[in-house]
Amino acid sequence: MDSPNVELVSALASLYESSAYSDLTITVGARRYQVHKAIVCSRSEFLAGCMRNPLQESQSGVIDLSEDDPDAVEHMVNYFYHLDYLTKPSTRRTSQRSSQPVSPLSPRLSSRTQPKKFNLAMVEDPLMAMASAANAAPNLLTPPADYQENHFETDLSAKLPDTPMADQDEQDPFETVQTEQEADVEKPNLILHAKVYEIAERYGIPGLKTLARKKFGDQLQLHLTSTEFPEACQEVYESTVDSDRGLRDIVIQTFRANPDLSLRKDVEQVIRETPGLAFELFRMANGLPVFS
Amino acid sequence: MIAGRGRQRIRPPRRSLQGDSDIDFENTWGTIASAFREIHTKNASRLSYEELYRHAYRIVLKKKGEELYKRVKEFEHEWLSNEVRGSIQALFSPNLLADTQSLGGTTTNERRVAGEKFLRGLKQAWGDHQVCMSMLADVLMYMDRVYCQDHRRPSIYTAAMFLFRDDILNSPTSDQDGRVVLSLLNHVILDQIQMERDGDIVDKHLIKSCVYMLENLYEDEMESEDSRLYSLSFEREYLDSSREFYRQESELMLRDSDAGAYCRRARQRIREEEDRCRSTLLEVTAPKIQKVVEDELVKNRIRELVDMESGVRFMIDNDRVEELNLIFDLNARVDPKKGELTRSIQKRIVDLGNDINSAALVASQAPAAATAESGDKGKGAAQEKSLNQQTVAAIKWVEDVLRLKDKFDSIWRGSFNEDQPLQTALTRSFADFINSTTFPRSSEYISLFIDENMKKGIKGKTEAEVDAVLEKAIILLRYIQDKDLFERYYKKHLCRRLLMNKSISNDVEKHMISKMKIELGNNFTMKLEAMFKDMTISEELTDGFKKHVAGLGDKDPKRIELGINVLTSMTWPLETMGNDDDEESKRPKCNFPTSIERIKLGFEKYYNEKHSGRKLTWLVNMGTADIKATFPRVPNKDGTFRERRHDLNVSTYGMIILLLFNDLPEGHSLTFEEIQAHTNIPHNDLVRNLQSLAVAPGKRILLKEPMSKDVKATDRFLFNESFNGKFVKIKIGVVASGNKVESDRERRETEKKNDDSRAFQIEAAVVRIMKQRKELLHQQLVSETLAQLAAQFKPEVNMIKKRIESLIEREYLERMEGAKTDMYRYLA
Repeated sequence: MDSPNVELVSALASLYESSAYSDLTITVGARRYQVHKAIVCSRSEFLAGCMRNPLQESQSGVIDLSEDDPDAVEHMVNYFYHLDYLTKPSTRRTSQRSSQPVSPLSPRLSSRTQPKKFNLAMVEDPLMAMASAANAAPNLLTPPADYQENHFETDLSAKLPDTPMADQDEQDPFETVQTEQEADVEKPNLILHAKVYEIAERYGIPGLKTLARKKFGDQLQLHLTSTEFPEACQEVYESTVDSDRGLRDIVIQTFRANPDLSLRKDVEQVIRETPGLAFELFRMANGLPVFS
Repeated sequence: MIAGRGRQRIRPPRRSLQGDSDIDFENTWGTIASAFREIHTKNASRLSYEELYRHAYRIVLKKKGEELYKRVKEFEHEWLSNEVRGSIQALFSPNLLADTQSLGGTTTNERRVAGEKFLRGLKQAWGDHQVCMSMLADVLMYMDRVYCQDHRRPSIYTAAMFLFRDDILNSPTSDQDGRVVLSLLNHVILDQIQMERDGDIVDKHLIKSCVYMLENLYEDEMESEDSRLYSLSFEREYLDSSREFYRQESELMLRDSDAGAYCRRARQRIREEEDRCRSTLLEVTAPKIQKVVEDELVKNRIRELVDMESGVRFMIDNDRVEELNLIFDLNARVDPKKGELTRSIQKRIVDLGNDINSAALVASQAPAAATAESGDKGKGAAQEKSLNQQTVAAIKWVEDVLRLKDKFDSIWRGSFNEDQPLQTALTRSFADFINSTTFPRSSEYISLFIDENMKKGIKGKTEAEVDAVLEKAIILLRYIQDKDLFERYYKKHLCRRLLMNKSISNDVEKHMISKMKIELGNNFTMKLEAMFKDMTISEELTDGFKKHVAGLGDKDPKRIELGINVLTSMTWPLETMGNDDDEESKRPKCNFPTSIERIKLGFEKYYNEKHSGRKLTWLVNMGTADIKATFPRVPNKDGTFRERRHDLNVSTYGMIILLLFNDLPEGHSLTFEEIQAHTNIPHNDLVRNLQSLAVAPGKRILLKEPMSKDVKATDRFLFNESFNGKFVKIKIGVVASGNKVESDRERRETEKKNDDSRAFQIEAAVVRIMKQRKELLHQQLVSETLAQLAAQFKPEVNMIKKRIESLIEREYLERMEGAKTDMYRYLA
């Protein structure tokens, strides 16, 4: 019933793996990504503009993004093909020289789960993975709405990761493509998400922005005490223009829900150094609209 | 915007990613500007898009978006003013500039070449500008997305288009000349179009490119639909100059060519302009220019065109179907009612119709006048002849009218696309001349036409042909306004046909009635049908009586057979049969010979047995009789003697007269007075019958002394024993029978009768209306009465007034006291 959607997602993934039909190369330092104009330019304003005009890149078929954070670029490319990122160790991408032929329904691609809730044995069962992919498919076309809903919750702490809602989200086929949850849980990756968010903003990829924002929000709740938090705040406030509220709102709401965060020494340091953040916190504390 | 946001210090770098975030704006801009210069000079291929994008992105991120936007605009302004404008100005050849002031001095060809060169250059500049700006806009994408949107500025691409408008199109053509490039551009395009109108071939594609440019540039920053330069600047001038051109052209053509050529040219021009909008200009202009052309070539000229010597009248008379179609088409474009064409067609119909009318009057009146003056009975034959002529005139009239109708019908089908309003107009015009007050004979003529066909015309024709003839009559009948008058004539003519057995086919008669029934309604044919019914009943009566007599057992070899027609009074227009001057009661009873009287009584008895309480009145003047007459032997040419027998068909009066001579000894004669005394036949009838028995050549059964055409009271009559007829059967008609056009006197009477019956109908209508409405204003009453009677005739308002007065006198209505305007109340 949902096989056409599954088929499309897995076809995209295998295009990326095999580099077949690739007509564009993105390079970051030494890394090279063989991509497809049809797939990437239709998603990113920047890439579309780059290929549309007779400048150097469109002649050579190579776009050099070495000025960008290599990891962020990798996640961006990942997103183009898997509709997700950061679900594999970054070593995977070196799988250009890669290994086993990839089937979209291979165990590797089984349902992404919150490890606390799911039996790992089940996760590894290919049949179960198929079943869950099929069951979850009805949500395939609506995930952005789900993200929105979740993110505009004023009280983020109220949305516990193990609520039934969250469970449903986790079964979303977009996220079934990859696993490796353990690493995810252990590492907050807050800075990384902020960077992905920034690159999505810079290159005009709205879907990726939404996704990064969701990940950032989710991770922030799980890792309030993380040492990454202060730096992430700074990244949020300095990598995009003021009017971009996506991550800023999440940060401010987190401060509102957890006032004692600012008592942390490292946090205090960052607030002192980041006037944008300090100003908004001041507005918040005075009950004024944070941004007008 | 909250305080503290906006211009801020740039944070010192903290991490490698933003290591160069402390950009030097001027440096970065320098890089960007030089790249833009490369793009403008078509050297873009060595530039890195990523790098330029990144520079622009960083500037915007560091809140220098506004500065960047301003710099780009300045850059473009400089570029256009310094580089592009010069190259455009280089295109102005002297004759191109010169001819904006005066047309003299250069040939068309030179102008065209110079114009094309200019257009091509401008098109090139515009094209380059568009291409470069779309590249720049892609590089500055992030600025558009963040800065322009947040600050509600037009995108950099749009802003650059405005710059092109201001720095190129609105710049002066040269330092001396105050005119701007845009007006020169308009002028050149118009000039090229004019060349095309004059038959030259121009580069439509090139013009269209420039037109697209004007379409995509706006006068204001809002980019509203009606502020396009195309509509504000070019289109307006185009329409004005076209108007002027077509005004002159139409004047010239009206003077120099005929209407047909004018129509063809006008249609061609309309198509050309339509094509031009498609191929050279924009479709949005099509309806506007079309209106201009139609206004100038058609709307303002249609009257002159229609009235030209070679105009509509000429086209109609010469059956110029195609030209009429053109003129119809043109007129329809500017006037859905096609007023001018309609007016002219109607006038032509009425003119032609009146010609037919007066031809008919001339044909009939000249001799009629003569007889009317003499008024002498002795001129009966002459009168008959003139009446015959009139009948011929009547039939010719009908056929002429039908021919005219056929003509216009075929024009209507062939030229007017079967346009409904025009058909209505045609019908109205036909009705106009057919019902013209100067020609009161239409009803009679149409009835006569039917009469003629019923008696002779349809002989030997197939059913379909007969039907076609009847249909023609119906067509004309539709035009007749005073249907009641027609009914009167038709009844009269039908009456004669029925009683005198003149109809060729009863079926056709009935067919005609049913056609009229469909056309005019039940009411109209009721009495006609009653006449047919009387005829049928009469046949049955005759048969019945014959059997009755046979049943009496009285076998009399000399028995006289009686054929009888019992006619319901009021249904039949009997006055038309000759007993016009007397009323029923006053008619003297003529004396029948005994043998006849017996049969008469016998029938009366028989009839009364069947229908008691009915009174039979014998209309002796309308009967005929077959008599066997035996003439004594006279020597034949070869010397033999033979008794001669003839079957004489005479009128009933004639029979009575002849029977008198049966009882008379041989050689005796009777005077007129004696005959009158014996028979009691009315004077007029007696005169006519004696004339036909004794005067008509070849049929002189009686001899008259002295022999003359006129019959005087002292004349003597005797049996013509030496009568010698060529045929066994001899029909002795009575003078003045058969359906002819009425004499003037008759017509006056018919009209008077008609008026009387109209008076009655009007009263009936008034009473019906008042009974329902109880109270009504005078004006309303009149108009409702007119509406009710419209199907039958169109009464004069005066007549209605008189009838109302009469009804008030007779206390059906009363005038309401105190009402401001006249108002009536119905009195139950």
